[in-house]
Amino acid sequence: MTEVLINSALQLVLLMLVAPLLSGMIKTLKARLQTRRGPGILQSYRDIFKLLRKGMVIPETASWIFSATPYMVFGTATLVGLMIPMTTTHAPFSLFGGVLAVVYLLALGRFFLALGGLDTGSSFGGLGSSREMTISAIAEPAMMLAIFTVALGANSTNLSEMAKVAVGQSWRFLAPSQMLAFAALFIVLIAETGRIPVDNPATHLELTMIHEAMVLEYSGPYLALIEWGASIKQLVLMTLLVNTFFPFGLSSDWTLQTIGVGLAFYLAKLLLLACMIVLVETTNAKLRLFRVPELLMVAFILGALALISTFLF
Amino acid sequence: MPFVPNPELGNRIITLMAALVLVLQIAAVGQRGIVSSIRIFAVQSFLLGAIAAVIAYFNQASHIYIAALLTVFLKAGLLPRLLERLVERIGIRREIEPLINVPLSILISGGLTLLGYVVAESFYHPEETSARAALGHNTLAVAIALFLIGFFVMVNRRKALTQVRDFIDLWNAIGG
Repeated sequence: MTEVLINSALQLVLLMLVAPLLSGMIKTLKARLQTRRGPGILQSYRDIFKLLRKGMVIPETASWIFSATPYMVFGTATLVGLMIPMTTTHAPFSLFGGVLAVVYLLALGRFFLALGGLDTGSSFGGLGSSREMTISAIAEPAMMLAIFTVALGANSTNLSEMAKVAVGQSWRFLAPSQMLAFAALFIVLIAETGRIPVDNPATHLELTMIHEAMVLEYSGPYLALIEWGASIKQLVLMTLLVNTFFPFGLSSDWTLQTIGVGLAFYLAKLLLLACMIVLVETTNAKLRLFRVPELLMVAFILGALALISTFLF
Repeated sequence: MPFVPNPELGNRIITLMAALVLVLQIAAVGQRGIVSSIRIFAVQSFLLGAIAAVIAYFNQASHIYIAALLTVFLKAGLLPRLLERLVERIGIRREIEPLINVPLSILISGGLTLLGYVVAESFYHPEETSARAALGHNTLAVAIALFLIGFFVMVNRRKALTQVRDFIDLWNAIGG
């Protein structure tokens, strides 16, 4: 019982603290790669604290949905974070639900974010919401197909079970179906976190923005919650990617040493994935909006092929 | 202690690389820029050469190394260079205009891959469950899929140069 509590507390702290750090890290790495100095790694923390201390402006036309959205976005992301294994094979909330709950909780957060964008009646918010829904309509099935491929290999949709099976088979990630699923999920990760070929996280450009357009009306603590929630969601998706496909170093017992090793491995894997994202963001130009479904279609087909090839191989 | 290559590991690496080639092929279908599609072709050829090298290493067949080297030098080095120069000389930096739109093309390629697997299945006899038979099973499926997608993409494009690129792509499929 105490172990579960310690595990939950540890994972919660990790989620809250590592997520902004990871966003900051990606920003800094990207700046360095483009030979800029860039903000420090801690900039995301500073932004969040600054926003939390500021006052808020709430539009007159806003209903309760506008105020509920930041909590929903933050809450669903954190809840999902507690349902996936991070440093140990046992996720604290693994009894609460498996892959399906993860996918639908993420969808719930996204649904509320889109509603929040629409709620104030501003044209930019509606534009952002409509774009977000267009993208997620294809990204979500692709993500499900990719995760189901892994679930099929483990004979369970419980992420902790999947991690346990994955730790047992060290060479499994070399299987073609796993690789196809990884490629699909990587594209989905880029789309869901609003990275460059799909959305540009660095600008407020009317013609291209998606995430920024939806949160345009938010300010102060609400904006802080939304941005923090978005970075937690990014961390959650990246964790899902590294831990289901490369489960090295996930500790299965509770000694201090294995947890330490697990944590070190986990952070190293995250850093590697962040480097991959930075490379993709720096070497690609942003796609035109109507080309984005093509990219996601590739992800969808890769996911479908991954699922089919588990039956054929 | 002499290092003995583990054939099972070799099989896994080869299957993985074959899958990578397949992923690149689907990416090439989704790609509009002609230069980037040539570059994808170069990477594919390099992977093919690497597959040949892995086969040579794990089966200790040194003559396959020659094939691997030739593949890498000619198909991953020389040919893409020539094609890119050609693109620059003709001055068509424009995007490829496919007859069928991209999302549908990708769906069709997915279907063709499936067809490749179904066809390869008929060559597979489970009673010969040696490692080599299983390897042939996987890579044959990928090769047939590459071949079919290559044909489809070639038919799907209008410009002669892009068709040439896809024709060379068919060699890759046959080589695989």
